Amino acid sequence: MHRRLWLVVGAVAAVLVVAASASATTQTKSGATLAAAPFSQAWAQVPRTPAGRKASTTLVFGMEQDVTGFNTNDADENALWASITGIEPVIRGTYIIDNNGNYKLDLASSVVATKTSLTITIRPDAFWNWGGKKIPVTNKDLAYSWQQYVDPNNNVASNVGYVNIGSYTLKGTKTIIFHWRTSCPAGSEANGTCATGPFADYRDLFAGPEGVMPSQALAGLDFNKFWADCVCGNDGQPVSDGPFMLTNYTRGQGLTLKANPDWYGTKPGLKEIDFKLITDTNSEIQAMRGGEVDAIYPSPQTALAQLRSQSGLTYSSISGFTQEHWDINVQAPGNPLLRNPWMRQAIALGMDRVSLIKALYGQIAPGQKPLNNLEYELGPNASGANAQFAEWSFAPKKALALLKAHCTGGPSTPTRGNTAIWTCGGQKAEFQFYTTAGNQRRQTSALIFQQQLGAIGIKLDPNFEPANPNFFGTRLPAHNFDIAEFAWSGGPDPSGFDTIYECGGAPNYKQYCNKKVDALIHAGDGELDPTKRTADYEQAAKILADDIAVIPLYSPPNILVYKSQIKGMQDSNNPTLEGPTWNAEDWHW
Amino acid sequence: MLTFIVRRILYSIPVLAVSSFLSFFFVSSAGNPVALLRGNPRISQNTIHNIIVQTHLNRSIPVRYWYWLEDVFAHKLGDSLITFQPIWPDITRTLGHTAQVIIISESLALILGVAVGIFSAIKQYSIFDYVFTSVSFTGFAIPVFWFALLLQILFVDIYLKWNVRIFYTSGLNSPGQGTWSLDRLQHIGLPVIVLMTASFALYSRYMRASMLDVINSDYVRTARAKGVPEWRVITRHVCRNALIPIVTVSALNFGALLGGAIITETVFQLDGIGFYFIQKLQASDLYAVMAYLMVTAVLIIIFNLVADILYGVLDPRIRYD
Repeated sequence: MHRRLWLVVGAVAAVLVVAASASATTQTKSGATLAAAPFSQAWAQVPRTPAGRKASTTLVFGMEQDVTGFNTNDADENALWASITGIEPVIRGTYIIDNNGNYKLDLASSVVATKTSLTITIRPDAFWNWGGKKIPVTNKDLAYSWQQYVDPNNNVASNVGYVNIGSYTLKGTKTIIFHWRTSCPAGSEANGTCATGPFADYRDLFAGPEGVMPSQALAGLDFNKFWADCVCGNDGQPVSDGPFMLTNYTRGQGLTLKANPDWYGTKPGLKEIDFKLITDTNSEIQAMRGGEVDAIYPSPQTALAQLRSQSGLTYSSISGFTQEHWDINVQAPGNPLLRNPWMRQAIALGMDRVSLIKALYGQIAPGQKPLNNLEYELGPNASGANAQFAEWSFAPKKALALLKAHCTGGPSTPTRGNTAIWTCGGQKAEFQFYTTAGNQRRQTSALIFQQQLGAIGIKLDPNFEPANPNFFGTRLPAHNFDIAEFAWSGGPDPSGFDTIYECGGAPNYKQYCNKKVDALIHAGDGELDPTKRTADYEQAAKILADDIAVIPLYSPPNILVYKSQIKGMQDSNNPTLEGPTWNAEDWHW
Repeated sequence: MLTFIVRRILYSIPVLAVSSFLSFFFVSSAGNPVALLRGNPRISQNTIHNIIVQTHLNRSIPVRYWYWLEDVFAHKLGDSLITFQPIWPDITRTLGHTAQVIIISESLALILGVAVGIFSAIKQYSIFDYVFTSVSFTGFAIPVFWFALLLQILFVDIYLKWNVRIFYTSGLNSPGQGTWSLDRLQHIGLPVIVLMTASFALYSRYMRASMLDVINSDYVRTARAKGVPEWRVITRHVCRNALIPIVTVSALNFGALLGGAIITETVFQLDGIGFYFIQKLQASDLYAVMAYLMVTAVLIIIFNLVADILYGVLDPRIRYD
């Protein structure tokens, strides 16, 4: 029996070991699908120590999220890390936004917008490197990109502005004139497939990562399917018009960028950048401490504080273009008390946003401030006299005065631990607050605001539910909340927020409607004079601040940690969705 | 024996069919690929409508289940609903990585667990027994994620202090080396230790209890009375019979772990099947999640069968008719 036992055990072990070895070679079968070469092939050449990497001008960057696909213009693949790793340094757009939020011409040498057209000229020295072939970037690439953006069968992440274009004219090989629409077919404006007039935020058209797509390389490929595992042409060969090419990628492991010799800009200071997937922030921190990676761009967590004091590392923290906020539901089925401006004012005055930010980010991003403009998040348009929401800074006594004027039964002074709740017109000042579950930051925020509002006699009942499918899938679209906390991603230009404030806008979950705001937004959207445009949006921001259907909270910080030996990264922490690789060509040891 | 195996395999088909439908029902109800898109104000209603139609979200769950079933048979577990890429290559790659870690950790845990269990039983209530009983309970009680983080910090501190790289703290691939290289072992060393600790605790306790059951049985007493040397009593008469429950436990444990040690793989960033599952679940990639669930269901069924077969091999009283 012994022999039988060992034979069976041996056979099972042998089968398992052979099967495991066969599949553990990390080979990606490309088959009929297009895929980059396996990451392990490139990774095999990467020196293990920072000193070795310095000698071979290679850098290893921790990658916090895996990539769903690299076509970041596809709604399903519109993820930050796909953009940071495989697109920003690889596929360029007409403009690039620098770390101060300024638009700079990149792939285009000139962009001119008028009331009737948008003229874009591609720089003469721009070439695609497609599997070693050097092909000029032309106006046909812009025309192809526009067609992809407006094709109703494509799941585009955003067609805003592109649907304002009705036709185009090619001029030579480098210039294209897009003509703004003057009319739309019936019903097409409502479903977002058509708009008329000039699009004043024209600098965001064809801009940034993957702004302009390679028409020749992508010929015959389906927009909804290409670049799932590569940034390549229809023959599977890498394609790039940026400083780097994506040469290797394996899902679940990482990817490799290699310098593109045909790029029009400054020669990259690194031969290779390897992005190693480390999705757990604590593991990322240890990998950074232990020299397994040279740089990380982690989501903000308290544990990062240990890296601030470690010698040999540079720690950079800036505010990003993300608006964490409260939506206050001003229509049914929200609590009717919230339709009263004085109640919304009392709530805003009862919230100490500064102390919340200190509690959340005091250790890892000191100096963070509350957001005080509902159209512009950062920069001069959001500060100084433009910080309109600052009028609602923490003032609990003012809040109590407002409540006393309309309600009964509350506390006479702000009292910690107070249990007396105001009753206003027979209705208790008790509100159902919803936010996403599993987010420590939002749980802390809910607890802090619950205490602060409780001190002035307003009861907040926090509810936490999964972002998917409950919170974003059903709760918000059904407007089934009194108050909800979540975040919007924005940018230097305010037009991205239009639909969240417009009457009837699909993401206007709070059901706010003010015709004056709509008129100002529409005026700003069509105004090509930047000064007048900013004035329109600032007026809208002022009304939004006065109406308090949204309470802006803070912008979560963007944190970049890198070895101090690496040069050129001091400007890399970019507050926009361009991410830290926007100037990867400047990085060097 | 062959009849038994065939019968068990046939039984497993309806089990798989029912479990696949239930899994599909619950996974479909738990995630909606469109939900998170609604958090982006720039995405048009037209795009959201397109995605709903393409992913059949506008159809009932039984109809969607049928679409999935068709895709499973037409395309080897189907194509991802988000990337439209085949799922099979991802499953084989990640399962291979998980298997590598599990084979090593389980083998070590079995060897050490069985040895310690035997010795603890022979030397019951000795210092050795008390020490390893404590170690085992610690292994049971220690939270995996905490232990994993502790090991990471410890080995990074060792590296920073003495510049000695014993283990890497994340990843699977090692520069320049093969699948079974020393460098790979440096990468998977910590996850192996974490998984081994939990399994070692289990096996050593089982082995000790099983040994104590057998060691006091009549036939052992008879063997001793007949003058059989003690080492022979232990190895031939006690250990062999005490191993039977361990075989069952280890086969089932092996099958369950092959389904992915999700926490360990996530903390150490192993490109294993558990890590794959968590990523796909977060992305609401329904077909990929279903593929994972089906693969793990099949593995559990196979290892249950293996446990039953081994039981028969070890215990001559059991016959498969």
